[in-house]
Amino acid sequence: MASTTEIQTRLDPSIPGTDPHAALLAVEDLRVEFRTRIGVAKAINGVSFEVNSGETLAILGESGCGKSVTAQAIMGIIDSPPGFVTGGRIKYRGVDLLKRSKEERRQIRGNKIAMIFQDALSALNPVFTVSFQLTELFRKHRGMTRADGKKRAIELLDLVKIPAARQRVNDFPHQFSGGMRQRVMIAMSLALDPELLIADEPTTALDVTVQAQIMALLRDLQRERNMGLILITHDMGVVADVADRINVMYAGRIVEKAPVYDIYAKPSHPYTKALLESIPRVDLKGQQLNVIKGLPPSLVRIPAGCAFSPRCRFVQDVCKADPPPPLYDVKPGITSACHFWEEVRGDE
Amino acid sequence: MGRYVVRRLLQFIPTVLGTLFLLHYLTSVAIQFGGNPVRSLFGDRTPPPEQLRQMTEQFGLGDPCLTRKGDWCIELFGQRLQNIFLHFDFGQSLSPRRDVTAVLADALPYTIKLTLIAFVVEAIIGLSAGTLAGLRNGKFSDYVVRIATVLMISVPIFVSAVLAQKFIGVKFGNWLRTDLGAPDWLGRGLFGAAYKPEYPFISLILPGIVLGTLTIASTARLTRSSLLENLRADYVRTAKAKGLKSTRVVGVHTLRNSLIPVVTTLGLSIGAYMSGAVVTEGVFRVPGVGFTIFRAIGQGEPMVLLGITTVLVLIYLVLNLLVDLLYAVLDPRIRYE
Amino acid sequence: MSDLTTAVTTAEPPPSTQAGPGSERSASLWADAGRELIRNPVFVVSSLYILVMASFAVVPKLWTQQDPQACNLNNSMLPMFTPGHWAGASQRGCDYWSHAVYGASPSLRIALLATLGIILIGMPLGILAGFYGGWVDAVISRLIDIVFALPFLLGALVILAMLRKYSIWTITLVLVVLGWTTLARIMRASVISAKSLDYVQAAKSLGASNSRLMFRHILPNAIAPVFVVATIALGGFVATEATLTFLGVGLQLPSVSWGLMISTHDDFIELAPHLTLVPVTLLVGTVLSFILIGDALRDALDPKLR
Repeated sequence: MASTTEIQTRLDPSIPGTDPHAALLAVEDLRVEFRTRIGVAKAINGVSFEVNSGETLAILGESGCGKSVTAQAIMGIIDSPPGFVTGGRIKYRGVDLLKRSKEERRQIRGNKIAMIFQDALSALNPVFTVSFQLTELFRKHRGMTRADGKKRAIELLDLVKIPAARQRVNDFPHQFSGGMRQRVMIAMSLALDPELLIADEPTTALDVTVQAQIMALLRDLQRERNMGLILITHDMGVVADVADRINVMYAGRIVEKAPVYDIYAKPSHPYTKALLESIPRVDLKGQQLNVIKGLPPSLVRIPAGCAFSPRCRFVQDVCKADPPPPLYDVKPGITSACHFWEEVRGDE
Repeated sequence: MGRYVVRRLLQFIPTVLGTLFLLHYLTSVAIQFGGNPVRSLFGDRTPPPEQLRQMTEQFGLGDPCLTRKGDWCIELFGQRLQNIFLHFDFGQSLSPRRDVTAVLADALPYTIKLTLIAFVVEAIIGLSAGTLAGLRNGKFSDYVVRIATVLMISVPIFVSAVLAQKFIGVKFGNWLRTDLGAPDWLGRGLFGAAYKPEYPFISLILPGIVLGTLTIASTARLTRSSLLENLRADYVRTAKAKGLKSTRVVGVHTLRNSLIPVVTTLGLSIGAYMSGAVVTEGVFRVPGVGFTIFRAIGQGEPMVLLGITTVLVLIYLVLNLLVDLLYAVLDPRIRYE
Repeated sequence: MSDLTTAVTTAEPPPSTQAGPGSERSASLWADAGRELIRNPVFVVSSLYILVMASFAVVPKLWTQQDPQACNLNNSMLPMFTPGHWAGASQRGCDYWSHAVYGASPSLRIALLATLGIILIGMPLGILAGFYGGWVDAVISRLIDIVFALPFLLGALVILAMLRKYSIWTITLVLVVLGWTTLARIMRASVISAKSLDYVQAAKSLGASNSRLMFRHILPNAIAPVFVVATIALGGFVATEATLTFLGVGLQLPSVSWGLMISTHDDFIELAPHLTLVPVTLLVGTVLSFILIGDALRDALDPKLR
């Protein structure tokens, strides 16, 4: 990022032991549970995936499937109690973050791995100006002065295409429109040139046209910086344009992994298939809308075997018995956690 | 911000008029149904009618509308407003014959000192206890604070004033003086039973603390719940995701948001102090505004009562206006409504 | 955490936290609250205490056979545990325990009447202001501001001092006239937030009339805070009445009330502390119980804490 100001780096936050050849982020068999009054909710049950620089991975699923918790686990900001990481590894360039000290994780946050949230209005502090909230990143992580930080803040606002950045930097979050606020959040996340950006439902709270703009912005920024991008969403339409690969999550597990075209063309898991079928289509006028009958299970009482079996139309007895289906290799790059993936793929 | 200020000022004026009218109306109705208050000055004896009429006039209660039940007494109200805003005249006391404003001028400094002590006590203890309880939610210190505050709210101020005076002031003070031979300022001044002019400041500390207990509890509870609410807010998650230290997340981001409702209720405390001062000054015999009210009731000086209350109401309204403006300074969202 | 909350609460048959038309949802909210309250020891103990105090007021003969007005100066200031006068005797020689029992009645009656009064005035005004908005709200809110601007105790003092008629009714009237604003404000805020709930909007778009909206949909949800405020107000009024009596503008001798017991005997604390401490304990206990009940109610009715 071109800048006329000299950056004084107070400390280099890269952790010793990182392997430049390892994947940017590798999550291995992650397990997270929440201990609540009514029981232990298994929010994440053995999730594994990788993201590399320049790649966009989308994590797709309904509310409550564990996708946001995954993001929070990577960032290390799960409310604990009641949430606890009970197993697995989160490897940033080969270094397991879960084994690192709180202080080391804190230094990576915002610096190497950044996150943007769904509702920018509540995610930004209402009583501080945008300038303050941007500048504090530079002051606290890089030791810059307030004046230098402010200059960088204005540059960042320009970067995310907020007009009149020099004036608007002194405004408060509620003075921006929804789309502009989201851009501010994106600017904030990119301030320290992170290598990985996690976007948790970045466009859910926005109008459709603004959605498109924001997604285009994210795509451009990612390409410029060769960042890894994890996009968390429940909206299949948003994903198609931006993602390279998709992980579909259900009840705390990944049920299908595939490149984006393959998912849409030929899904390999009944849940993915049902999701696709439930998208209303303009050319099928007059027909009933498809829904997935039933509700997602309570994470305190996940059914034995495949968690989706109560709602699945391909279900057989073996699906209802433990152990739950593993991720079968369907094709190179495609896996599915369904015993009957062949049938699913063949079904028209 | 300017528009907000103007709007608040425009709202302020009708509120002032409305409240003054309410006070006027309620007291007029009270006189209409309760009878001429001057009458009661004579106790069981029946005064000659001419003397009664003269005294009633002198008290400013001669308007015939006060004999008609339910009469709004608009003219009287207009007259009183003129007196207040054009002549700064809030009525007279009868014995000795003085302007209410003069009586107030004498009494106000004591009450101000007392209120300041109470305010400092409330702010320090209330804010720290509330913050402690909020940060240590669910743990022992949280429960202690919650129990203590509930107890404080449940004890009416006259009870705590009387108990404090008798047990701390009299018993403990005496014990310090006679049994321990403590210096006079300690035994009679700080732990004394009443206000002593030879220790103008120290002997106000105990009554000040008593007055402060009135609002410590609500300040602590409000701080606690405000902090708890803000600790769960979305922007806290964002601040953590930015990699900021948790001391900064709580100390800078959360605190500022949590304090907003607290600061504004500190303004409401003033109303509580005005009422509480009557009791506290009465019990500890501090010659302030509250004590003047206390005495005016006992001596049957209705105009003094009405005059002082009018002044206090005006002060309260002005202070509330200032607190509203302060709120806008602290919370930028309000400024642009 | 919204991810998690939805996950944890779904998949049970109609959960009580899901929004639904008026009475169904409110019925289960109250049922849940009731169950939670019974299991709360603080609530149970406080309620028992209030019941005991209420029985003091309603059936005093159950608790004492003595006549509070049968005073004998020979018995003046008897200490506690004197046979026949277990709580001692007052300065005028009256049996103190009977005073303690009979003293409950005026305080509780005033508190109850005043609370009913502020509900009768504050609730409708709050509902109207919240529901209709516009100039109705502007007028009512302005009225609330004006009455609220009069410091409560101060105003009560002045009016009662002018009135010079001290009976249960006058005191109650003054408390109501000055005290209805808090309830009205809370009711208004509650109605405003209930109005914007999705299912209310849905009912409205289905053509529900205003009164139907108000009574079937909004009210059952908006009414919960009223109970909390009313309970705490009961405690507050007990305390306020005692304070007014202490200042000389409340109940007067020869009435029997806790406030009078305290104010007539505070000079004798060193000689006979029990004469002050007995009514103080009863008074503080009553106020405390009401506040604790109100707190427990609030926690039980708060859907966010589920």
